[in-house]
Amino acid sequence: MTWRAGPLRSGIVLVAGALLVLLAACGVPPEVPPPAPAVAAPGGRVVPASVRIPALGVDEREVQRLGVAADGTAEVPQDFARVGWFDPSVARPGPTVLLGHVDSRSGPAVFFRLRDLRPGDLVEVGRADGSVARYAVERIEQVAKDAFPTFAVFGATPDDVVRLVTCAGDFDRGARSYTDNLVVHATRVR
Amino acid sequence: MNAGGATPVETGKSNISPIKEALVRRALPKLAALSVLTAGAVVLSSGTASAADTEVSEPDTFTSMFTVMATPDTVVGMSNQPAPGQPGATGTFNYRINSDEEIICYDLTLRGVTGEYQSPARTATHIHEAQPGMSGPPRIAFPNPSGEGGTRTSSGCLQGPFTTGVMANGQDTGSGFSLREIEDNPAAFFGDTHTAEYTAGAVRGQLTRVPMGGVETGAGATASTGDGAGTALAAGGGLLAAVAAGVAVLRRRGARSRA
Repeated sequence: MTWRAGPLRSGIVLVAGALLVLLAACGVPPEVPPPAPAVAAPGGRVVPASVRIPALGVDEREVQRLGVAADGTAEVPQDFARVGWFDPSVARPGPTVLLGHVDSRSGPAVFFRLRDLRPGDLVEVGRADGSVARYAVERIEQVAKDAFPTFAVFGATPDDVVRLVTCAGDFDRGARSYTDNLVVHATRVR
Repeated sequence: MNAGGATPVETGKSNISPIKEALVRRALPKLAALSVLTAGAVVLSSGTASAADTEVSEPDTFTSMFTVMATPDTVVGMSNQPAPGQPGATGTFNYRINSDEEIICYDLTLRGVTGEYQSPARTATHIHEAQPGMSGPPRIAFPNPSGEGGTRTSSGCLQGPFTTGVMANGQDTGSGFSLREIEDNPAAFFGDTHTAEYTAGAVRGQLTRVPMGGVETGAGATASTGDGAGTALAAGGGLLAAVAAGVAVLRRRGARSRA
């Protein structure tokens, strides 16, 4: 027997039949190529290889590289336990955007506790060359997906910053999607 | 009409910060002054600048979005030789495109770019078509950013067909250009701005696509909405009970985070 998160709310437990497909949700990724570890990129760019967030107990040894899905939205990790990095596909200074799920269909996921971060908490991004860049949380904002601040998250910036994104708000059972995103902004400290 | 003096359209959408909107408003008189300054350049240039590149209001939807981190080190000259731009200057250029309506909305911010603009085109702020390290013709000319202090901004929406005022092979370098070409291969285009001191470009950067809309990073197992968890307990048994307990915890957290 299995169930989806949706029925939990209504109190109806669905027994999984052969036709109960795992439906697209705020966590079901668009079609993406097999995950590629973000340890090297063309042009000798420095890319994030790992991420640690000590305050949350997050310690991801391998960050998955992501891009833009066919429907124009951001690809997200297929594995709910992994953190993804949005690869801007160009050698330039800019934000390091890391995406992770808040939950799966069965429980908490890698960025479940992202909402608990507080200003000053550290985010450590490991690079392929072994160096570690440390960032301090500056602010946390919850934004409606239908007014998502695209350029405030993915847009270019001359500053060395990290932006962490997960889901938040209410879960729209019909759309199988959270209504909001949680965005954590962190700036380089050393 | 020379587009250098065109009035930026106030987009009024949420992704423009109130501070930036204020900057844009403050910049209006300066833009008018710039149009006077650039009028001379238009006369001196090919003289083919004509009515086009209509300033329009923001469309309801977009088909793609792009960002540019423009820096001085990537600037090249006409022979593709390195021609570094203004030290310490940066540009962040954000573009939203509706290729069905041939509209591009722009939010351009220059920091540390000083002095007057200069370009043979109608304005000095462009999207060019060229790979990294190569020079190439301008395809779109945007109203030049303006503002007090070290930051200059320019925002609005333009509708094609586009013209740049630069002639090549007997026609304007914007003629025949379609925004779909950017969507098909954004890396083959770059944004830049030219000044009298840095004629090859003060800053430059290639376009990169950014995702649109919210990020789908959750499947709902721990969602803090609704009130049916109690009844689910009766139906679901022990494992569900554990999940429901989590839901209860989350509700409290949710309430706190929304406060």
